[in-house]
Amino acid sequence: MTKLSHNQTTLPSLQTLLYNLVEQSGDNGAEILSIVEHYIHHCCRNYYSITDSEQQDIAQEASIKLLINYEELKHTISKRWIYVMVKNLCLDALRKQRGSNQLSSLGQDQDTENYSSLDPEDFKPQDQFDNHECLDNVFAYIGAQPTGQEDLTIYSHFVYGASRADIAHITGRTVNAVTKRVSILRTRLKKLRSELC
Amino acid sequence: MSENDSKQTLMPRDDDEQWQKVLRGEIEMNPDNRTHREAKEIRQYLLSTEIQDAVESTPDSHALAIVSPEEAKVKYQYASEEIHRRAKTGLPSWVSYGLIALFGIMAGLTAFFAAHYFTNTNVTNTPAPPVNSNRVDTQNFGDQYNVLKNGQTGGLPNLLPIPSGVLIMGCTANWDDIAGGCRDSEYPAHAVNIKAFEIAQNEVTVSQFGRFVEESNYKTVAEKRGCVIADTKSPSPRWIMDKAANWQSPGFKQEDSHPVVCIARMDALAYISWLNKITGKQYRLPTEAEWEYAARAGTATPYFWGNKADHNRANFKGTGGLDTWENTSPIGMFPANNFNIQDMSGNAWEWVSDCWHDNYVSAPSDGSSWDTNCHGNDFIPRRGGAWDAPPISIRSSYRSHAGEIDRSQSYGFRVAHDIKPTTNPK
Repeated sequence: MTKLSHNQTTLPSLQTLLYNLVEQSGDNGAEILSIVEHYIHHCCRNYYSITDSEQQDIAQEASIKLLINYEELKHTISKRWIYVMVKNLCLDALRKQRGSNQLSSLGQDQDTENYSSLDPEDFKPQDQFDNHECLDNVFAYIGAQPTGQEDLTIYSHFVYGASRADIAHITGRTVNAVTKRVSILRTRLKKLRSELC
Repeated sequence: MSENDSKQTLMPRDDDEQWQKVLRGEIEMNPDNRTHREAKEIRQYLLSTEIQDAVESTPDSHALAIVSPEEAKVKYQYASEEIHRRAKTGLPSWVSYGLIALFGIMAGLTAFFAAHYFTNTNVTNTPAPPVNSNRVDTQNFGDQYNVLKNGQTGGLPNLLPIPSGVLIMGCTANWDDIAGGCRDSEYPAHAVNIKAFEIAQNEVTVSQFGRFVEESNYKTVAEKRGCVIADTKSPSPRWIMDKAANWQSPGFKQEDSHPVVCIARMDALAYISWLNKITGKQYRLPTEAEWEYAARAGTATPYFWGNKADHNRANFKGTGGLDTWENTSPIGMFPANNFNIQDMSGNAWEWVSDCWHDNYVSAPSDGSSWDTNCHGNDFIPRRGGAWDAPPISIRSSYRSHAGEIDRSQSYGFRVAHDIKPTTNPK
């Protein structure tokens, strides 16, 4: 009789995990689907209006994308690719909500959400930016301020197209405060770039 | 400043709005516009930072274990079916509309004739549960297998092949516990490698057990000492030991095709011993892991049909839909699972071969009978729930226990058998 054991072994590559899913071998793809689920949960911590049912749809759609894109992905798949795929599916779900006239949970927003999908250019690694060191310094400075982390969260959600009301809900700030942080961002960046770069 | 930049005529406020719109991805970047380029750079940087933080904070995938291999299998099946469905619907729109119209006409005609047929033959019009396309074809294992239909019983238990596979045994979070929670004894969920085996399509029936008693003059524990039955005279649920109750009169009326009850595990083992003698085979009780594997039939949900107890699928406490029986129902009255096995949920509790353990810590991972380090007494697991069990007790992962000689009007059993080594799926 063999007992359950948790022996440490060399971890399989992401390519192997994808192969397991496509060929239904090994763990049947459990590990790669766990990564997908993890990213769905990560996204839904922010996009609180995505329901459990929509999360299941996202998971299924992600599985389908992994299966039908296997030939393209079998040598190139990365966690970054999986994350962007999941994020785009979450944004699609939010767009569908907007399309079916589901109101933002806070309603009465000055603007509406305008979630836009990420294109490959949008997620190139940081070190591929010409000014990445400069921007690293600028945003590190912002993050180090007393409410800096909240500011960064506001900027990140704004970039993804979240409404100001949704950002206010996520960050616990008022809508006016969010609007102000966004409106001064450009000026703030110019000032910090001149000082830090 | 470039020539293009010098052509900008935006007012400062408009310029800021443009900057925000590009930052937010609302408008495409115009590469000739300096404001756009500046905003696009910030957009890409912020997106990339967020993505990098998310990816770098991902725990090792091996440690995540959010999805089990069994669940992955189910998700793969659903995704594959959806891919095929989409591929099939990728027809020119006029063809699709034509097919829909044709389907509508055929459905209407079918409904008309079906209604006419049912009206004339007094057949119940309870909606039949949908046929599942993932069913195991027993013919792949050889011609010796025959799935009984319409409540046929046969003189001996009808064995069917169960393919090998990996079972996630026990309660998996967000799957098994969504139908009212799980008991402590159902944890931890763990992977078990199951070898192919055979299990009876149905629980052992009254007539099958009667033949054994008749040919062997066997006296069950209940015939010697009585059987536990519900006290129908009590206003509140109460159980009593009825000296007169036994497999022939368990406290309610049974027909030959009902599962035999008032059976202690030692009675079940006596039946199996006789069965082995007359057939020359080596029947046995299923191990607890085999039982759960056969009950789930490749599903990860609380019940083999989904997340909600359904009287159209099983005989459990109360009545409704196909379940019109207050007590046991004839075997084979409810839809089979994907392994062609029936009544794994409800009808009668079923004995397994293991001894009782309070949880699955250190459980075997090879599907064998767990007979060591037993929980200090002679408790035996019983599985599947029965006609008097609440919905939570007929879940695939639910487990309970009773003593070696305990018997009640809801305890029955089914048999299993090793599969012949030469019986490989084609």
